[in-house]
Amino acid sequence: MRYKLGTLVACLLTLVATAAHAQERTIRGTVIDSVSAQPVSAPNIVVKGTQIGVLGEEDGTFVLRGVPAGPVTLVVSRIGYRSREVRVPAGQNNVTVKLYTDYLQVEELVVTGKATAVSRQNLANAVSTVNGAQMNEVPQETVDKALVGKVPGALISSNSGAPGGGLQIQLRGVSSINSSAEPLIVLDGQILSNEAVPSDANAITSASGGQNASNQDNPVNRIADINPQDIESIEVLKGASAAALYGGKASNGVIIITTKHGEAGKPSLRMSGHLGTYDLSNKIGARRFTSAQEAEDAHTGLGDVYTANNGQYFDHEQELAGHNYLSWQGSASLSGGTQDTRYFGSLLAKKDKGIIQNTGFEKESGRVNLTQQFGDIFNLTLNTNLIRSWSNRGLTNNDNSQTSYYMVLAATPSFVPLTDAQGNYIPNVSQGNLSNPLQTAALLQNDENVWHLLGSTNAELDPVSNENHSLKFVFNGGADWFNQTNDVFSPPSIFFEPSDGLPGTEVLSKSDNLALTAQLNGVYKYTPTSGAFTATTSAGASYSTHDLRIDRTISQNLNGGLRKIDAGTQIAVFQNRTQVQDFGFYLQEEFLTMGERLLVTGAVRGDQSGANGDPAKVYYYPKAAASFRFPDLGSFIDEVKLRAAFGQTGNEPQAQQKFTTLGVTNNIQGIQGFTLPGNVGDAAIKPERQTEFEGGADITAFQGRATLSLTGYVQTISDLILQRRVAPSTGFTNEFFNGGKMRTWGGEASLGVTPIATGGFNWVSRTNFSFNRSRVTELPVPAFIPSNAGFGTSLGAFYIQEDHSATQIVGTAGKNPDGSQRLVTLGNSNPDFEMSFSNDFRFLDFRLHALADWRTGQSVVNLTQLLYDAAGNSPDYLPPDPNNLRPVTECFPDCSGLERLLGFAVDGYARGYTQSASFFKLREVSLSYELPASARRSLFGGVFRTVRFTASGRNLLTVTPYKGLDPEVSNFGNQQVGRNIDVAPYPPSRSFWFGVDLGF
Amino acid sequence: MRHSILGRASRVLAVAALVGLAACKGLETPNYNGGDLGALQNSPDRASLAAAVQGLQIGHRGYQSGELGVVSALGVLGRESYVLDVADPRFVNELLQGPLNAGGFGAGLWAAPYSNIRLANIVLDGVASVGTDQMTDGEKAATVGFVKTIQALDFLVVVETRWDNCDGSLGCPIDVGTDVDQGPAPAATKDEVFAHIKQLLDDADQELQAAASAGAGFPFDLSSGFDGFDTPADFDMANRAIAARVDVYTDAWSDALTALSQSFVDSAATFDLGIYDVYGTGSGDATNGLYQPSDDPNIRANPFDSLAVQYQTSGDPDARYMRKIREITQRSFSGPGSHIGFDMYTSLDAPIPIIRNEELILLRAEANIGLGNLDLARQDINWVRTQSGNLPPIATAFANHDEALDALLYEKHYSLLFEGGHRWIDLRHYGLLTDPNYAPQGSAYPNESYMNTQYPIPLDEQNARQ
Repeated sequence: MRYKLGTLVACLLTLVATAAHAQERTIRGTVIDSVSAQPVSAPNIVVKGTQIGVLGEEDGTFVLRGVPAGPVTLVVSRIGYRSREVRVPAGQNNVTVKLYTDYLQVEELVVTGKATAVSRQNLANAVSTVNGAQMNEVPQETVDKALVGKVPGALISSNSGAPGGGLQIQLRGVSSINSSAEPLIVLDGQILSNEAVPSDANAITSASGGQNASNQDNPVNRIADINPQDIESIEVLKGASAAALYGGKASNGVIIITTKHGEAGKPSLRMSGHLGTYDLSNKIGARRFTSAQEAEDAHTGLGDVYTANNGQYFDHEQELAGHNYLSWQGSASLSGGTQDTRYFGSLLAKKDKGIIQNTGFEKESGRVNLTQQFGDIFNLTLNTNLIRSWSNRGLTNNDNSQTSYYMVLAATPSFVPLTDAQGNYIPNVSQGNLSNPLQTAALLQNDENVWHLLGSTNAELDPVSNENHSLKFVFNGGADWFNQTNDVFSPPSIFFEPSDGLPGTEVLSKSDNLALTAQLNGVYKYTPTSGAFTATTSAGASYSTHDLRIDRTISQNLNGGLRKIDAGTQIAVFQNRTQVQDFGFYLQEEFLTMGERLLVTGAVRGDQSGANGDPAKVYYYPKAAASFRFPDLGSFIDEVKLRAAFGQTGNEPQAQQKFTTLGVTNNIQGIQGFTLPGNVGDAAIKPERQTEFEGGADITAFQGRATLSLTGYVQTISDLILQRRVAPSTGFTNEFFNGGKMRTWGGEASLGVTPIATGGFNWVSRTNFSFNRSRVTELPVPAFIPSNAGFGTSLGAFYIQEDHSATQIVGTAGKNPDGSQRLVTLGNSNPDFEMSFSNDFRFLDFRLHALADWRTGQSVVNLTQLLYDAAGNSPDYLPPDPNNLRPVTECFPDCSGLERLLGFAVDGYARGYTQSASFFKLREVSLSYELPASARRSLFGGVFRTVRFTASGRNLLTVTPYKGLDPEVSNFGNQQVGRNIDVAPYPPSRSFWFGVDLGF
Repeated sequence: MRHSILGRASRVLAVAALVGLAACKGLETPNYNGGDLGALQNSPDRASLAAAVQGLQIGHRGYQSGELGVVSALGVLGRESYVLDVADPRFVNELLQGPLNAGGFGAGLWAAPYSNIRLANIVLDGVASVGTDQMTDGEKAATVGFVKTIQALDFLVVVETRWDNCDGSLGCPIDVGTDVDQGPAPAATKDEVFAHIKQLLDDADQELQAAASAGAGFPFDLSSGFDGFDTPADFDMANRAIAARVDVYTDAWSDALTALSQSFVDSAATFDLGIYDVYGTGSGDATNGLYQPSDDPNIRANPFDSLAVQYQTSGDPDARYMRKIREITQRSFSGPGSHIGFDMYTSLDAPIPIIRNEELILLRAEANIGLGNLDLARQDINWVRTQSGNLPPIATAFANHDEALDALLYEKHYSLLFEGGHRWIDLRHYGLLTDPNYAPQGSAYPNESYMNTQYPIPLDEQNARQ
């Protein structure tokens, strides 16, 4: 977040102007871009060591009155440029100042408190910032997708290839085992409800048994609703040392999103349109049968089908997911204002059509942000955003009903046709329930409609502001409301529908979410007249509440096949409501001294939460940090900063973890009864506590053209909220409790260079590197498989074990000498490291951007392949030598399907299905051309300020040894532990775009 | 101007402070999603105890149906049925081929009965603690009698699925208590569990008789599965029937005959007389997952069922086979294949027997075989054989025990086909699980001659007890 210093400074100036003395002079000047020589609009000019300053004009000119008669030094600054000091001798009253673009954001202001910020050059934590331009290189459906590869230490992974959201952001690795996996997202001061409410496609897939919704439904996180183009900047606080002020919600890190608020100046209207398409980027393939006998041997009774179709190979994956529909995005924004009133408004409409029929993601968003300055001391900001989004993700992931697309494809031999000669869908003769995924995709509706309204206000009062003292109060309050309707309709005409005896299923879910946040902050800043230090004291309190209600109705056996929940004969209803209230307060001191070289920060946060066993108990989270700058270290190195920080955060229990809830929804022929739940709550549950030590160095060299940031950290997470498996003979299966410790550690490096910056050719390169390791150091219970972490050790599952990584994947490996099952570690879902490379080239009016992402060492439990193997349909099913089957431990990773299957099924080795999922992905490529001013004028007159054409693509290339569809996958959605389980996911795609951007 | 802004600001501050104070006081939010276990345990009353007893009926039927329920899973183990579910090859690789993985399948048939056992203990504690204003002594006796009988059924599933593993170092716990924070109960052996089941049934018998003599009824509702057995006196006959089954399983032949004499066994009555787990299609009710009307269902009969069948004089197969088996589309998966399915449980609300008259008649025959009364046994066998199977009676006396047992096991196979794992339990009882005359030994899939004798103690139980 960058402060709008301009307005502030300008206001202060009017105050001091009256105190001007007689021996003054006036300096006039112009500020221009060092490369283009174009004016830099609205620059800030301050006489160093004084409060004398002015905000320049749109055309870069300024008039600075009241300047002392002697020689002075002007500090000239502008967001996006490095600030510059210019010496003006006594006699000179006209200057031209060149500013150098701050390609690497050396100088931005970074929020460090709830209402305070420090310059990046003093920052004592490794806080990563991504600005709006970096977010929107390539059209993105969602904000989280746009962040991939841009923040070192943030592992952002898709759960599937489905259009729209459903991504997990893991900051500095795993930080819990059973509690929330979501970072705290703060949007313009408000906590964003990043809920992922499942569709309840589970009523059809039975993935988790029963009819109620499951996290196997491939849900969308509601951050998907935010328009990436509204974003001014995103700051990522990755660990406890940076995020301690967010206390009990911050163990997974904090993502602070600031939207655009317009700048003083002429109105700026921008419009852009993009057209594109998505394209299936990987297929599993299927076994090719060479004779009717081979077909009959593998699929009894289907030899005749082989013969009838002349042994034809049908590419069912292509038929299902080979669609290239037209996708589009149109947007407009208007911003501008005066010094007192600023505004930003935007509209967005987009439609992303998925590669499977009927699937897709749509979003319409409108935002209005208004900022009004009242007099000198009061500033009011109003932000409103209304979004409608829609998605349809078809029927994917695990099932127990032979309905999910890839579950059926895995069992459908390649010689079985799914369409007749006329292209009509025909029953799938290889399936007991006749399920034909092509027909399912054509007829099944899985609509998710969301109305999302975000509103917040920020009121800032500056009653005192002079050279020595400033006092500021900031009130921030707002609401995040969304209403989500999931309407899953499986008409009776779908081939599989009659097989349960109840043709036609309609599942209607209504979710209503309201989150409110109110906070008040006070900031007192003291600078003695000597200027020896600046002490900033801030304190504040906040209250937030979050209430999510979900009502679901499942109706089967639909009269006349109507899409109506009251048209069925068998109706089940489910209701779930969780509400949490939190109260917190903090006190922080920031002390900047030694010529702004040393920054020392100390703070403490206290939190109460209704989710804790004792809602009245206050949990305290301290932090301390220091940084020291060594400027001017020789000719190449501009500056070296050393920093160290310590902090604690918590991870509050989830809303229901303190309760042991008796089942009340069951009846037997209308006779109601209580049933015991599987899970026992912990009435004394408390937050997990993360303690982090972070240290690092930031080096700036070559006049800001090279930056290197190195960070190392160690985190200890204690009081882990564990859901342990209890002895089922107690009558329960799980129990929540606090216990155990985990340590994580890692490093991050970020190198930014501008190797070339001439008028005609610019090259900016950023390279990020990060790694993270975890170890369970104390586990007061026996090793266990967390819930949603696999399908048993015989297939490969996550396993929480003392002195092992929290994200290890273990599996069976035959028997121990005593006959018991032997378990071995097969892999880890956490990569050894992630590296990303971003390069921007600007040549004359052309610009090329490329972002690549490389992760290595992580594994995925590939159960999709198991399903293909079990049905004898995997493309590599037949072993090279049928008379010499190799044990899976010998042939891995190049086993045939049969060898993998026998290894699992007969020998009891899970080895074959936990596979390397290292990958290199070319995430973003865009090439743009901006019409030169002369051509613009001759073509369009003076209508446009900018005209730009862009061709871009996303995920154009993936290199991986992984044999499944996509190495980024999670059948169970966002999970701290338990990602990387591949069960019939939505297949991956690449996208191509062509766009036009117009500025008026 | 300045002043008024300050004034407004102070009001904002005041509001914020109030919000903060309010927040401090009432951060607690209720549990919106269900009942409270603490309330049931700490302040039980007539209504909550009734709801819990009704919950026991829901709990018991909860693990009978479905592909992994008692009927289907034990059916696969006893080679009565196959589950060819392409979504889960473990039905073949583990249930059929073995070995069973402690970490995966089968844990449900341990956790679900123990959940019910725990709930039953909570009810028993509650009944003991409530005053007579809530329940009369007669009603208390009736409740205890019913609850202990259901608890015996739950323990029976535990011991029958784990069998010799109960005698291992882990064992099968009995004293699971009611305190949530208490650790796992001490292990018990197979014999101890059987003894405990017998004790529960005998206690229940006493309580039910006491209730009957006090003229009390059940202070809770019973599903239609207990029609005809819905008074303590009538339910006591079901209790004795279950006791007879347990006696037969433990070779207590005389006790079995005594218990049978007090049960509802009746050659003159319909074979289907008995108690049942029932299902329904109403909201909140559960449907019978064994209902698979498709011509190509996952749950299939084992082809062995057709190979072992005897024939009526008309040349048709055994009438029981005719009633219970239908032709379906041939399908194989991961090796095994089958062309026959079950023509049982033909609706979503089809009941599953808990125990019924046909079994009792055969239990009487079995007890008589155990006692060497082969002719008495032959009478009962022939009754079932002719009346249920429409087969010619066995005219000549059994030459010896084994011949009689062989005849009995045939009748039990088809009379109780796919009704609760009777085949598997009986073959194991007599050490015949791997005898090719009783279980198929083909080569349709690897390891076909291997038979799972019992489920392992679940991994979670092992881990929790380490």
